[in-house]
Amino acid sequence: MRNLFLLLAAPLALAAQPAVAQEIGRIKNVTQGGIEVVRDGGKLKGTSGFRLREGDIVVTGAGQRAGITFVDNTRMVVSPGSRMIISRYRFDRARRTGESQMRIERGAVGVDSGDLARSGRMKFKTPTSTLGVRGTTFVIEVDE
Amino acid sequence: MMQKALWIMALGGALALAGCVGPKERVTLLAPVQPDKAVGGVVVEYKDGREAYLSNVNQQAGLRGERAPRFEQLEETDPLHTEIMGYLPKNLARDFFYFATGSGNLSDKEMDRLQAFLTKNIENRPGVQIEIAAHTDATGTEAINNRVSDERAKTVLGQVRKRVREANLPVKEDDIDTVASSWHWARSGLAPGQAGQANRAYRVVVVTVR
Repeated sequence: MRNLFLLLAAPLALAAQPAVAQEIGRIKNVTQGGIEVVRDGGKLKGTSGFRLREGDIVVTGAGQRAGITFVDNTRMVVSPGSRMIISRYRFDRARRTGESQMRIERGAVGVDSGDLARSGRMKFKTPTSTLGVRGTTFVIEVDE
Repeated sequence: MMQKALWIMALGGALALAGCVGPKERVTLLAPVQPDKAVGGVVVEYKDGREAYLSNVNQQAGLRGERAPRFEQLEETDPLHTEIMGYLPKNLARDFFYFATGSGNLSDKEMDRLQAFLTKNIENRPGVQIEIAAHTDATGTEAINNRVSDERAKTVLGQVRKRVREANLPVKEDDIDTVASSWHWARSGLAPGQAGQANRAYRVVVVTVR
């Protein structure tokens, strides 16, 4: 019985795995020397062309900033002194639908939303609040 | 001296209580950076599923967790916001290229046009990506159309990579990829239950540079 359960559960567990290896967006313009991207606990240098994945944390120090374009055509600016966690990002490029959730822990992020916002399933979290995006341009600021 | 410091601290506390000190977390709606785009909106979700909407340009909401956000209408765009948005990456460039009737390849003439489009749009675009999507029409099943559009897109991918190599364009091979099926897009123009009609206009490849 236990073996049967494992046999049935294994494919479901595999299907539930996030597509961590999938590119969800790219760092485009970035200040000299790049920024920091935390992935699986390790620190990587995010320079122009860096391929972002779900789960990445984008960190900018003083004087650093980065422009990012996501595969749904959402564009973002991560300003100096910011920390943004890409908690969830799913996008079906053929159907142009999906969902995303990003958490701004500190700093300022400017957003020009893309296809994801049309579905109303693009969300941003700050330390205290949740924001839903309806196809628009805006800035989120979180002071320390 | 001590008394003066106490007065300053008390004044600071009073100002904070009165809400005169700016909120630590805020969201500000801006004018769309793309002229053809609507202002849209941002929804602030606070206590027990309650929501508040930002819908005016330069409207700002101070976020206060479970309490309703505090709204303020800024008279003009904050220069800091202008500075932030000035660093957005370039917007995508997109164009449409057409197969000749009965052909699964783009003609040399269409490829010349596509190459000119790429040359123009990859300039000053760091981290460039090129996406090739082949449209189908709204007839048949999604599975069949997926396969057809995938085959078409991959054929054009080969043509584009060859041109990129020959013209020595600064794009890496794995920066060009394909998207299968825009059958879904073709169907989206139909009423529920409406049958799709064969449409030669869908013999098209959409190339996006971002």
